[in-house]
Amino acid sequence: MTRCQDPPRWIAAVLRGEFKAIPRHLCWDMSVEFAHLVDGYAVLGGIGPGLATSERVIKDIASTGQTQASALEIWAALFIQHRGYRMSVYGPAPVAEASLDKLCCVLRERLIRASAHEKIRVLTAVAAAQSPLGGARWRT
Amino acid sequence: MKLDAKLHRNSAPDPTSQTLFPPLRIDAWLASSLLQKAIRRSDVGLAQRAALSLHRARGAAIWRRFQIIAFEDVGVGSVSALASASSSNDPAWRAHLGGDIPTIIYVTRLLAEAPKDRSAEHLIRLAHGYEGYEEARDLVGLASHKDRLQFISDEDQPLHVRAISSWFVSGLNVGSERRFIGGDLAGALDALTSAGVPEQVVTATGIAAGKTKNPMCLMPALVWPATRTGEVPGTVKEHVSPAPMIGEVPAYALDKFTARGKAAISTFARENDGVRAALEANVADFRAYEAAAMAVFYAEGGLVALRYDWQGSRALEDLGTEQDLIEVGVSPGGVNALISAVRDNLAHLHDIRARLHRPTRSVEL
Repeated sequence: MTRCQDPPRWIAAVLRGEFKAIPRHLCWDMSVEFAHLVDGYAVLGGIGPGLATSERVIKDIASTGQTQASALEIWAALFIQHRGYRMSVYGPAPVAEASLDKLCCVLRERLIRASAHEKIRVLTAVAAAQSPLGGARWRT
Repeated sequence: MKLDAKLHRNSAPDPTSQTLFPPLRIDAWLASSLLQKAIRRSDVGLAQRAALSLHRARGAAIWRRFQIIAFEDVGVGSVSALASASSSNDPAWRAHLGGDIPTIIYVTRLLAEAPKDRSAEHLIRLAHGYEGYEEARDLVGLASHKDRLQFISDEDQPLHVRAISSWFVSGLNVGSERRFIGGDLAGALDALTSAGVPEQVVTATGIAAGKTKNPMCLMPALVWPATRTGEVPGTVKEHVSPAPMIGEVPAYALDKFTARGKAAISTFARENDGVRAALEANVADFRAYEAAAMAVFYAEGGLVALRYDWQGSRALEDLGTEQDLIEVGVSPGGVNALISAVRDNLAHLHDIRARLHRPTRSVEL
Protein backbone atom coordinates (compact mmCIF):
# COMPACT_ATOMS: atom_id res chain seq x y z
CA MET A 1 0.00 0.00 0.00
CA THR A 2 1.35 3.44 -0.92
CA ARG A 3 1.68 5.36 2.31
CA CYS A 4 5.04 7.02 1.95
CA GLN A 5 4.12 9.66 -0.60
CA ASP A 6 5.08 13.14 0.39
CA PRO A 7 1.66 14.69 1.04
CA PRO A 8 2.59 18.29 0.32
CA ARG A 9 3.75 17.44 -3.22
CA TRP A 10 0.60 15.77 -4.40
CA ILE A 11 -1.62 18.01 -2.33
CA ALA A 12 -0.07 21.04 -3.96
CA ALA A 13 -0.92 19.50 -7.32
CA VAL A 14 -4.51 18.85 -6.22
CA LEU A 15 -4.81 22.51 -5.26
CA ARG A 16 -3.93 23.32 -8.87
CA GLY A 17 -6.70 21.02 -10.08
CA GLU A 18 -4.41 18.15 -11.07
CA PHE A 19 -6.49 15.36 -9.59
CA LYS A 20 -4.47 12.67 -11.35
CA ALA A 21 -1.77 13.45 -8.80
CA ILE A 22 -3.92 11.88 -6.08
CA PRO A 23 -2.18 8.61 -5.15
CA ARG A 24 -3.73 5.59 -6.78
CA HIS A 25 -4.14 3.88 -3.43
CA LEU A 26 -5.50 6.83 -1.50
CA CYS A 27 -6.98 5.45 1.71
CA TRP A 28 -8.48 6.70 4.96
CA ASP A 29 -5.18 6.63 6.76
CA MET A 30 -3.45 9.00 4.32
CA SER A 31 -6.36 11.29 3.49
CA VAL A 32 -6.57 13.66 6.44
CA GLU A 33 -4.75 16.60 4.83
CA PHE A 34 -6.51 16.02 1.56
CA ALA A 35 -9.95 15.85 3.24
CA HIS A 36 -9.41 19.24 4.83
CA LEU A 37 -8.83 20.99 1.49
CA VAL A 38 -12.59 21.57 1.41
CA ASP A 39 -14.87 22.87 4.16
CA GLY A 40 -17.35 20.01 4.22
CA TYR A 41 -19.63 21.77 6.67
CA ALA A 42 -20.01 24.71 4.27
CA VAL A 43 -20.46 22.43 1.25
CA LEU A 44 -23.16 20.30 2.86
CA GLY A 45 -25.04 23.08 4.65
CA GLY A 46 -23.83 22.69 8.23
CA ILE A 47 -22.95 19.97 10.69
CA GLY A 48 -26.39 18.35 10.97
CA PRO A 49 -27.08 18.01 7.22
CA GLY A 50 -23.40 17.20 6.69
CA LEU A 51 -23.53 14.25 9.07
CA ALA A 52 -26.67 12.92 7.38
CA THR A 53 -25.24 13.23 3.86
CA SER A 54 -21.93 11.76 4.91
CA GLU A 55 -23.56 8.70 6.45
CA ARG A 56 -25.74 8.20 3.39
CA VAL A 57 -22.79 8.43 0.98
CA ILE A 58 -20.76 5.95 2.99
CA LYS A 59 -23.69 3.55 3.21
CA ASP A 60 -24.27 3.75 -0.58
CA ILE A 61 -20.62 3.13 -1.38
CA ALA A 62 -20.29 0.31 1.17
CA SER A 63 -23.30 -1.51 -0.25
CA THR A 64 -23.07 -0.82 -4.00
CA GLY A 65 -19.61 0.60 -4.53
CA GLN A 66 -21.13 3.77 -5.98
CA THR A 67 -23.19 6.81 -4.97
CA GLN A 68 -25.44 9.40 -6.56
CA ALA A 69 -23.59 12.12 -4.67
CA SER A 70 -21.36 14.52 -6.61
CA ALA A 71 -17.56 14.47 -6.32
CA LEU A 72 -17.71 17.57 -4.14
CA GLU A 73 -20.27 15.97 -1.82
CA ILE A 74 -18.13 12.84 -1.51
CA TRP A 75 -15.12 14.99 -0.67
CA ALA A 76 -17.21 16.86 1.91
CA ALA A 77 -18.33 13.51 3.33
CA LEU A 78 -14.69 12.52 3.77
CA PHE A 79 -14.05 15.84 5.54
CA ILE A 80 -17.02 15.23 7.87
CA GLN A 81 -15.71 11.78 8.78
CA HIS A 82 -12.21 13.04 9.50
CA ARG A 83 -13.53 15.85 11.67
CA GLY A 84 -15.59 13.34 13.62
CA TYR A 85 -12.79 10.89 14.23
CA ARG A 86 -10.47 13.68 15.32
CA MET A 87 -12.98 14.26 18.14
CA SER A 88 -12.96 10.63 19.14
CA VAL A 89 -10.48 8.67 21.22
CA TYR A 90 -10.86 5.76 18.86
CA GLY A 91 -10.25 5.53 15.12
CA PRO A 92 -12.76 3.76 12.92
CA ALA A 93 -13.36 0.08 13.58
CA PRO A 94 -11.93 -2.22 10.84
CA VAL A 95 -15.26 -2.56 9.01
CA ALA A 96 -15.85 1.20 9.10
CA GLU A 97 -12.28 1.86 7.96
CA ALA A 98 -12.77 -0.44 4.98
CA SER A 99 -15.83 1.62 3.99
CA LEU A 100 -13.85 4.82 4.37
CA ASP A 101 -11.07 3.39 2.21
CA LYS A 102 -13.70 2.69 -0.47
CA LEU A 103 -14.96 6.25 -0.11
CA CYS A 104 -11.44 7.55 -0.81
CA CYS A 105 -11.16 5.27 -3.82
CA VAL A 106 -14.50 6.38 -5.30
CA LEU A 107 -13.67 10.03 -4.62
CA ARG A 108 -10.38 9.78 -6.48
CA GLU A 109 -12.06 8.19 -9.51
CA ARG A 110 -14.84 10.77 -9.53
CA LEU A 111 -12.44 13.68 -9.32
CA ILE A 112 -10.30 12.38 -12.14
CA ARG A 113 -13.35 11.80 -14.34
CA ALA A 114 -15.10 15.04 -13.36
CA SER A 115 -16.64 17.09 -16.15
CA ALA A 116 -15.29 20.58 -16.70
CA HIS A 117 -18.37 22.02 -15.03
CA GLU A 118 -18.00 19.79 -11.98
CA LYS A 119 -14.28 20.49 -11.79
CA ILE A 120 -15.00 24.21 -11.60
CA ARG A 121 -17.46 23.65 -8.77
CA VAL A 122 -14.92 21.56 -6.88
CA LEU A 123 -12.07 24.00 -7.35
CA THR A 124 -14.28 26.91 -6.33
CA ALA A 125 -15.04 25.09 -3.08
CA VAL A 126 -11.35 24.30 -2.59
CA ALA A 127 -10.43 27.95 -3.17
CA ALA A 128 -13.11 29.11 -0.74
CA ALA A 129 -11.79 26.72 1.89
CA GLN A 130 -8.25 28.08 1.51
CA SER A 131 -9.29 31.61 2.49
CA PRO A 132 -8.67 32.58 6.12
CA LEU A 133 -12.39 32.18 6.83
CA GLY A 134 -12.67 28.92 4.91
CA GLY A 135 -12.08 25.30 5.80
CA ALA A 136 -8.38 25.90 6.43
CA ARG A 137 -9.40 26.94 9.91
CA TRP A 138 -10.43 23.37 10.72
CA ARG A 139 -6.88 22.18 10.32
CA THR A 140 -5.50 22.18 13.84
CA MET B 1 -21.53 3.82 66.63
CA LYS B 2 -24.75 2.07 67.54
CA LEU B 3 -26.80 0.54 64.78
CA ASP B 4 -30.42 -0.33 64.91
CA ALA B 5 -31.55 -3.92 65.07
CA LYS B 6 -32.85 -3.90 61.52
CA LEU B 7 -29.45 -3.13 60.07
CA HIS B 8 -27.86 -5.98 61.99
CA ARG B 9 -30.63 -8.32 60.84
CA ASN B 10 -30.35 -7.18 57.21
CA SER B 11 -26.69 -7.54 56.86
CA ALA B 12 -25.55 -10.59 58.68
CA PRO B 13 -24.47 -13.57 56.54
CA ASP B 14 -24.11 -13.48 52.81
CA PRO B 15 -27.29 -15.41 51.85
CA THR B 16 -29.42 -12.79 53.58
CA SER B 17 -27.60 -9.84 52.06
CA GLN B 18 -27.81 -11.47 48.63
CA THR B 19 -31.58 -11.58 48.94
CA LEU B 20 -31.91 -8.03 50.18
CA PHE B 21 -29.20 -6.58 47.96
CA PRO B 22 -29.01 -8.78 44.86
CA PRO B 23 -25.55 -8.54 43.30
CA LEU B 24 -25.09 -6.73 40.03
CA ARG B 25 -23.34 -8.55 37.21
CA ILE B 26 -20.95 -5.72 36.47
CA ASP B 27 -17.20 -5.25 36.56
CA ALA B 28 -15.33 -3.28 39.20
CA TRP B 29 -15.00 -0.15 37.08
CA LEU B 30 -18.71 0.05 36.46
CA ALA B 31 -19.50 -0.78 40.09
CA SER B 32 -17.22 2.04 41.24
CA SER B 33 -18.79 4.52 38.84
CA LEU B 34 -22.32 3.48 39.76
CA LEU B 35 -21.57 3.63 43.48
CA GLN B 36 -20.43 7.24 43.32
CA LYS B 37 -23.17 8.44 41.00
CA ALA B 38 -25.97 6.65 42.83
CA ILE B 39 -24.72 8.23 46.05
CA ARG B 40 -24.77 11.66 44.39
CA ARG B 41 -28.35 10.98 43.30
CA SER B 42 -29.30 9.73 46.78
CA ASP B 43 -30.37 6.37 45.35
CA VAL B 44 -29.69 4.31 48.47
CA GLY B 45 -30.68 0.85 47.17
CA LEU B 46 -28.72 1.05 43.95
CA ALA B 47 -25.70 2.53 45.73
CA GLN B 48 -25.72 -0.35 48.22
CA ARG B 49 -25.87 -2.97 45.47
CA ALA B 50 -23.02 -1.21 43.63
CA ALA B 51 -20.99 -1.04 46.86
CA LEU B 52 -21.41 -4.75 47.50
CA SER B 53 -20.49 -5.51 43.89
CA LEU B 54 -17.35 -3.37 44.20
CA HIS B 55 -16.43 -5.05 47.47
CA ARG B 56 -16.90 -8.45 45.88
CA ALA B 57 -14.61 -7.49 42.99
CA ARG B 58 -12.00 -5.41 44.80
CA GLY B 59 -12.26 -6.29 48.49
CA ALA B 60 -10.66 -3.76 50.83
CA ALA B 61 -10.35 -1.12 48.10
CA ILE B 62 -13.88 -0.04 48.95
CA TRP B 63 -12.77 1.63 52.19
CA ARG B 64 -10.53 4.02 50.25
CA ARG B 65 -13.36 4.57 47.77
CA PHE B 66 -15.73 5.53 50.58
CA GLN B 67 -13.30 8.17 51.76
CA ILE B 68 -12.84 9.67 48.33
CA ILE B 69 -16.60 9.83 47.82
CA ALA B 70 -17.19 11.24 51.30
CA PHE B 71 -14.67 14.05 50.90
CA GLU B 72 -15.35 14.76 47.23
CA ASP B 73 -19.15 14.64 47.20
CA VAL B 74 -20.44 14.98 50.77
CA GLY B 75 -17.85 17.17 52.47
CA VAL B 76 -19.31 19.58 54.98
CA GLY B 77 -22.80 18.37 54.04
CA SER B 78 -22.57 15.70 56.73
CA VAL B 79 -19.89 15.47 59.38
CA SER B 80 -21.17 12.05 60.51
CA ALA B 81 -20.89 10.67 56.96
CA LEU B 82 -17.32 11.99 56.72
CA ALA B 83 -16.46 10.46 60.07
CA SER B 84 -18.06 7.09 59.27
CA ALA B 85 -16.37 6.83 55.89
CA SER B 86 -13.01 7.45 57.56
CA SER B 87 -13.76 5.05 60.40
CA SER B 88 -14.60 2.31 57.92
CA ASN B 89 -10.84 1.90 57.42
CA ASP B 90 -10.60 0.48 60.91
CA PRO B 91 -11.22 -3.29 61.15
CA ALA B 92 -12.19 -2.93 64.83
CA TRP B 93 -14.85 -0.38 63.96
CA ARG B 94 -16.17 -2.63 61.22
CA ALA B 95 -16.25 -5.58 63.63
CA HIS B 96 -18.23 -3.42 66.03
CA LEU B 97 -20.81 -2.89 63.29
CA GLY B 98 -21.06 -6.61 62.62
CA GLY B 99 -18.42 -7.03 59.92
CA ASP B 100 -17.61 -5.77 56.44
CA ILE B 101 -21.01 -6.26 54.81
CA PRO B 102 -23.02 -4.42 57.50
CA THR B 103 -20.43 -1.65 57.44
CA ILE B 104 -20.73 -1.30 53.66
CA ILE B 105 -24.52 -1.19 53.84
CA TYR B 106 -24.47 1.32 56.66
CA VAL B 107 -21.82 3.70 55.31
CA THR B 108 -23.31 3.64 51.81
CA ARG B 109 -26.71 4.62 53.23
CA LEU B 110 -25.17 7.46 55.22
CA LEU B 111 -23.33 8.78 52.17
CA ALA B 112 -26.35 8.47 49.88
CA GLU B 113 -28.76 10.15 52.27
CA ALA B 114 -26.39 12.98 53.22
CA PRO B 115 -26.71 16.42 51.62
CA LYS B 116 -23.93 16.85 49.10
CA ASP B 117 -21.26 19.53 48.97
CA ARG B 118 -18.72 19.19 46.16
CA SER B 119 -16.71 22.27 47.22
CA ALA B 120 -13.64 20.25 48.18
CA GLU B 121 -13.05 19.01 44.67
CA HIS B 122 -13.59 22.46 43.17
CA LEU B 123 -11.38 24.13 45.75
CA ILE B 124 -8.36 21.87 45.32
CA ARG B 125 -8.57 22.07 41.54
CA LEU B 126 -8.76 25.85 41.68
CA ALA B 127 -5.92 26.00 44.21
CA HIS B 128 -3.88 23.83 41.88
CA GLY B 129 -4.55 25.36 38.50
CA TYR B 130 -6.75 28.47 38.41
CA GLU B 131 -4.88 31.27 36.66
CA GLY B 132 -6.42 33.90 38.95
CA TYR B 133 -4.73 32.27 41.95
CA GLU B 134 -1.23 32.31 40.50
CA GLU B 135 -0.25 35.24 42.70
CA ALA B 136 -1.52 33.43 45.78
CA ARG B 137 0.46 30.32 44.83
CA ASP B 138 3.57 32.47 44.54
CA LEU B 139 2.84 34.18 47.89
CA VAL B 140 2.37 30.87 49.69
CA GLY B 141 5.24 29.26 47.82
CA LEU B 142 7.65 31.93 49.06
CA ALA B 143 6.26 31.93 52.61
CA SER B 144 7.97 30.09 55.47
CA HIS B 145 6.49 26.91 56.90
CA LYS B 146 5.42 28.85 59.98
CA ASP B 147 3.66 31.49 57.89
CA ARG B 148 1.87 28.83 55.88
CA LEU B 149 0.56 27.28 59.09
CA GLN B 150 -0.65 30.71 60.16
CA PHE B 151 -2.44 31.18 56.83
CA ILE B 152 -4.31 27.92 57.42
CA SER B 153 -5.50 28.89 60.88
CA ASP B 154 -6.28 32.51 60.04
CA GLU B 155 -9.96 32.71 59.12
CA ASP B 156 -9.44 36.22 57.78
CA GLN B 157 -7.31 34.87 54.97
CA PRO B 158 -9.20 34.19 51.71
CA LEU B 159 -10.34 30.59 51.35
CA HIS B 160 -8.08 29.96 48.35
CA VAL B 161 -4.98 31.16 50.23
CA ARG B 162 -5.83 28.79 53.09
CA ALA B 163 -6.43 25.99 50.59
CA ILE B 164 -3.10 26.53 48.84
CA SER B 165 -1.32 26.74 52.20
CA SER B 166 -2.80 23.51 53.51
CA TRP B 167 -1.99 21.73 50.25
CA PHE B 168 1.64 22.93 50.35
CA VAL B 169 2.07 22.17 54.07
CA SER B 170 0.57 18.69 53.76
CA GLY B 171 3.13 17.69 51.15
CA LEU B 172 0.39 15.77 49.34
CA ASN B 173 0.57 15.90 45.57
CA VAL B 174 -2.28 16.50 43.16
CA GLY B 175 -2.79 13.61 40.76
CA SER B 176 0.44 12.12 39.46
CA GLU B 177 2.55 15.19 40.23
CA ARG B 178 5.75 14.89 42.20
CA ARG B 179 5.89 18.47 43.41
CA PHE B 180 6.41 17.79 47.10
CA ILE B 181 8.59 15.47 49.09
CA GLY B 182 7.78 14.98 52.75
CA GLY B 183 5.33 17.44 54.25
CA ASP B 184 3.77 18.18 57.61
CA LEU B 185 0.27 16.76 57.62
CA ALA B 186 0.15 16.78 61.42
CA GLY B 187 1.01 20.48 61.41
CA ALA B 188 -1.73 21.20 58.90
CA LEU B 189 -4.24 19.32 61.08
CA ASP B 190 -3.15 21.26 64.18
CA ALA B 191 -3.62 24.51 62.28
CA LEU B 192 -7.13 23.42 61.33
CA THR B 193 -7.89 22.71 64.99
CA SER B 194 -6.61 26.20 65.85
CA ALA B 195 -9.04 27.58 63.29
CA GLY B 196 -11.91 26.11 65.30
CA VAL B 197 -12.69 23.15 63.06
CA PRO B 198 -14.45 20.43 65.14
CA GLU B 199 -12.24 17.61 66.32
CA GLN B 200 -14.39 15.02 64.56
CA VAL B 201 -13.78 16.73 61.21
CA VAL B 202 -10.05 17.12 61.82
CA THR B 203 -9.69 13.47 62.83
CA ALA B 204 -11.61 12.28 59.77
CA THR B 205 -9.47 14.57 57.62
CA GLY B 206 -6.26 13.16 59.06
CA ILE B 207 -7.32 9.56 58.44
CA ALA B 208 -8.56 10.23 54.90
CA ALA B 209 -5.59 12.38 53.86
CA GLY B 210 -3.14 9.83 55.26
CA LYS B 211 -4.87 6.92 53.63
CA THR B 212 -5.68 8.38 50.23
CA LYS B 213 -2.69 10.76 49.90
CA ASN B 214 -5.10 13.14 48.21
CA PRO B 215 -4.91 16.82 49.25
CA MET B 216 -8.57 17.20 48.34
CA CYS B 217 -9.33 15.55 51.67
CA LEU B 218 -8.07 18.66 53.50
CA MET B 219 -10.57 20.94 51.78
CA PRO B 220 -13.84 20.25 53.67
CA ALA B 221 -12.14 21.22 56.93
CA LEU B 222 -11.16 24.54 55.33
CA VAL B 223 -14.64 25.08 53.97
CA TRP B 224 -16.26 24.30 57.32
CA PRO B 225 -15.64 27.75 58.92
CA ALA B 226 -16.92 29.46 55.76
CA THR B 227 -20.25 27.65 56.14
CA ARG B 228 -20.59 29.14 59.61
CA THR B 229 -20.44 32.74 58.41
CA GLY B 230 -23.10 34.68 56.53
CA GLU B 231 -26.42 33.06 55.75
CA VAL B 232 -27.40 29.86 57.52
CA PRO B 233 -26.63 26.87 55.29
CA GLY B 234 -29.53 24.81 54.04
CA THR B 235 -30.34 21.88 51.79
CA VAL B 236 -31.77 22.26 48.31
CA LYS B 237 -33.41 19.51 46.29
CA GLU B 238 -31.99 19.57 42.78
CA HIS B 239 -33.44 18.24 39.55
CA VAL B 240 -31.45 15.30 38.24
CA SER B 241 -32.50 14.08 34.83
CA PRO B 242 -33.63 10.45 34.95
CA ALA B 243 -31.70 7.93 32.89
CA PRO B 244 -32.92 4.69 31.30
CA MET B 245 -31.65 1.35 32.56
CA ILE B 246 -29.16 -0.42 30.33
CA GLY B 247 -28.96 -3.97 31.53
CA GLU B 248 -28.79 -3.71 35.29
CA VAL B 249 -27.41 -0.20 35.55
CA PRO B 250 -28.69 3.28 34.80
CA ALA B 251 -27.16 4.84 31.70
CA TYR B 252 -25.44 7.58 33.70
CA ALA B 253 -23.06 5.01 35.22
CA LEU B 254 -21.40 4.51 31.82
CA ASP B 255 -19.00 7.41 32.17
CA LYS B 256 -15.49 8.15 30.92
CA PHE B 257 -13.96 5.82 33.52
CA THR B 258 -15.65 2.76 32.06
CA ALA B 259 -14.66 1.21 28.73
CA ARG B 260 -18.17 1.29 27.27
CA GLY B 261 -18.80 4.76 28.62
CA LYS B 262 -15.65 6.06 26.98
CA ALA B 263 -16.65 4.51 23.65
CA ALA B 264 -20.15 5.96 23.96
CA ILE B 265 -18.94 9.50 24.69
CA SER B 266 -16.51 9.24 21.81
CA THR B 267 -19.29 8.25 19.42
CA PHE B 268 -21.58 10.92 20.89
CA ALA B 269 -19.02 13.66 20.17
CA ARG B 270 -18.70 12.41 16.61
CA GLU B 271 -22.35 11.73 15.81
CA ASN B 272 -24.37 14.37 17.64
CA ASP B 273 -24.68 17.54 15.59
CA GLY B 274 -25.40 19.85 18.54
CA VAL B 275 -22.46 18.63 20.60
CA ARG B 276 -20.20 18.52 17.58
CA ALA B 277 -21.10 22.10 16.69
CA ALA B 278 -20.28 23.23 20.23
CA LEU B 279 -16.99 21.33 20.12
CA GLU B 280 -16.03 22.70 16.69
CA ALA B 281 -16.74 26.24 17.86
CA ASN B 282 -15.00 26.06 21.23
CA VAL B 283 -12.36 23.33 21.39
CA ALA B 284 -9.29 22.37 19.35
CA ASP B 285 -10.18 19.00 17.85
CA PHE B 286 -7.33 17.06 19.44
CA ARG B 287 -8.87 17.89 22.84
CA ALA B 288 -12.49 17.45 21.82
CA TYR B 289 -13.00 14.05 23.45
CA GLU B 290 -11.68 15.22 26.82
CA ALA B 291 -13.89 18.29 26.61
CA ALA B 292 -16.96 16.24 25.71
CA ALA B 293 -16.28 13.79 28.55
CA MET B 294 -15.93 16.64 31.04
CA ALA B 295 -19.13 18.27 29.78
CA VAL B 296 -20.94 14.93 30.16
CA PHE B 297 -19.75 14.86 33.75
CA TYR B 298 -21.20 18.29 34.49
CA ALA B 299 -24.42 17.65 32.59
CA GLU B 300 -25.05 14.26 34.15
CA GLY B 301 -22.57 12.32 36.29
CA GLY B 302 -21.75 15.12 38.70
CA LEU B 303 -25.36 16.03 39.45
CA VAL B 304 -26.54 15.72 43.03
CA ALA B 305 -30.12 15.25 44.21
CA LEU B 306 -29.77 16.98 47.57
CA ARG B 307 -27.38 19.89 47.70
CA TYR B 308 -25.86 21.43 50.81
CA ASP B 309 -26.05 25.14 50.13
CA TRP B 310 -23.91 27.63 51.98
CA GLN B 311 -23.07 31.23 51.18
CA GLY B 312 -20.46 31.13 48.46
CA SER B 313 -20.95 27.50 47.48
CA ARG B 314 -22.63 28.30 44.16
CA ALA B 315 -19.93 30.78 43.19
CA LEU B 316 -17.24 28.22 44.04
CA GLU B 317 -19.04 25.57 42.00
CA ASP B 318 -19.41 27.88 38.99
CA LEU B 319 -15.74 28.83 39.08
CA GLY B 320 -14.68 25.22 39.58
CA THR B 321 -16.84 24.02 36.70
CA GLU B 322 -15.46 26.66 34.37
CA GLN B 323 -11.90 25.85 35.43
CA ASP B 324 -12.39 22.13 34.77
CA LEU B 325 -13.68 22.79 31.26
CA ILE B 326 -10.98 25.35 30.49
CA GLU B 327 -8.30 22.89 31.65
CA VAL B 328 -9.43 20.42 29.03
CA GLY B 329 -9.26 23.03 26.29
CA VAL B 330 -12.69 24.66 26.14
CA SER B 331 -12.61 28.39 25.39
CA PRO B 332 -13.90 30.39 28.39
CA GLY B 333 -16.82 31.72 26.37
CA GLY B 334 -17.87 28.24 25.26
CA VAL B 335 -18.20 26.46 28.62
CA ASN B 336 -21.93 26.95 29.06
CA ALA B 337 -22.68 26.32 25.39
CA LEU B 338 -20.93 22.94 25.52
CA ILE B 339 -22.56 21.81 28.76
CA SER B 340 -25.98 22.91 27.45
CA ALA B 341 -25.44 21.06 24.18
CA VAL B 342 -24.62 17.87 26.06
CA ARG B 343 -27.53 18.32 28.47
CA ASP B 344 -29.96 18.89 25.59
CA ASN B 345 -28.80 15.73 23.85
CA LEU B 346 -28.48 13.25 26.71
CA ALA B 347 -31.20 11.08 25.15
CA HIS B 348 -28.92 10.53 22.16
CA LEU B 349 -26.03 9.60 24.44
CA HIS B 350 -28.27 7.09 26.22
CA ASP B 351 -29.22 5.58 22.83
CA ILE B 352 -25.56 5.19 21.92
CA ARG B 353 -24.81 3.60 25.30
CA ALA B 354 -27.65 1.13 24.77
CA ARG B 355 -26.40 0.39 21.25
CA LEU B 356 -22.91 -0.42 22.54
CA HIS B 357 -24.21 -2.43 25.48
CA ARG B 358 -23.10 -6.01 25.87
CA PRO B 359 -23.97 -7.87 29.05
CA THR B 360 -21.00 -8.31 31.34
CA ARG B 361 -19.96 -11.84 32.17
CA SER B 362 -21.59 -12.96 35.37
CA VAL B 363 -19.43 -12.72 38.48
CA GLU B 364 -20.10 -15.50 40.94
CA LEU B 365 -20.20 -14.71 44.62
